[in-house]
Amino acid sequence: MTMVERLLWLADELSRRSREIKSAAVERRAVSTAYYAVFHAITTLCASELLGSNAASKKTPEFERVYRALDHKSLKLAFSAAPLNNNQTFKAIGNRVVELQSERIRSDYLPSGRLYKKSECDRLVQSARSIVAELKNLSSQDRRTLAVYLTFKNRSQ
Amino acid sequence: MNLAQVTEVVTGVLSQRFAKDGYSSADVQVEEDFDGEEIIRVTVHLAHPVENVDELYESVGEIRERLQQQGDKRFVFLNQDFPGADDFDGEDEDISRGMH
Repeated sequence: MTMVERLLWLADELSRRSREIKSAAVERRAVSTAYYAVFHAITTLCASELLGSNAASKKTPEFERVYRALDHKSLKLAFSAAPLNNNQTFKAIGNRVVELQSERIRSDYLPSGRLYKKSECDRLVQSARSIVAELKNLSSQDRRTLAVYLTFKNRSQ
Repeated sequence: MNLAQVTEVVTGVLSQRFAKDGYSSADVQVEEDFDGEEIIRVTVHLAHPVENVDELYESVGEIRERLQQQGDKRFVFLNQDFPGADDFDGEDEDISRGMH
């Protein structure tokens, strides 16, 4: 099982468990964990596409450097701008990623209290799983496009 | 676009797509996201849940497409509400107890 798969599993578990113990805190951890599953899926895609996905590549400092190049703010910016916002596949992924990212920040930083109805928490976790599946199904060209435009800033001059 | 214009687009899309699910209304609010940008948060009220959440996200795609055609590039977050959407009342963390 990969880390991304484990995080998705954990998000499911937290969502299910939150219902049993009636915990807003656990619901919020479910949503946050679901986002991080997606974030790691995206960063893995970017680094693997740019440096190769074999085991040896993944152990290099260069892989870690590219992996760490993507930050949360630039993720939203990239999905808001061309060419990603002109492509139906990326738009669909971006709509989900940006929502999950926003909910992750609400979950992690807002004062204690319930943020979600149970159905919302389930939907967000399910959405994370769908994003990861969509990333896996991208064409090689789309993977390359996503990796380049998420990792490198757009400069106007 | 102002809120009334956005609401018109949103309700037009949702009432058509979710008529089969007992669409009754949609609440549309503009909120500030974590980065200070505005997002549009929508709650659609239904008689029964849309089981396949992909349908909700396809609706978001259509709403954003229509908004963008009119120059509005804000992200749209859509949630569904239906009888029984929440299956527990209250929570185990009592916020009245203090800071932690």
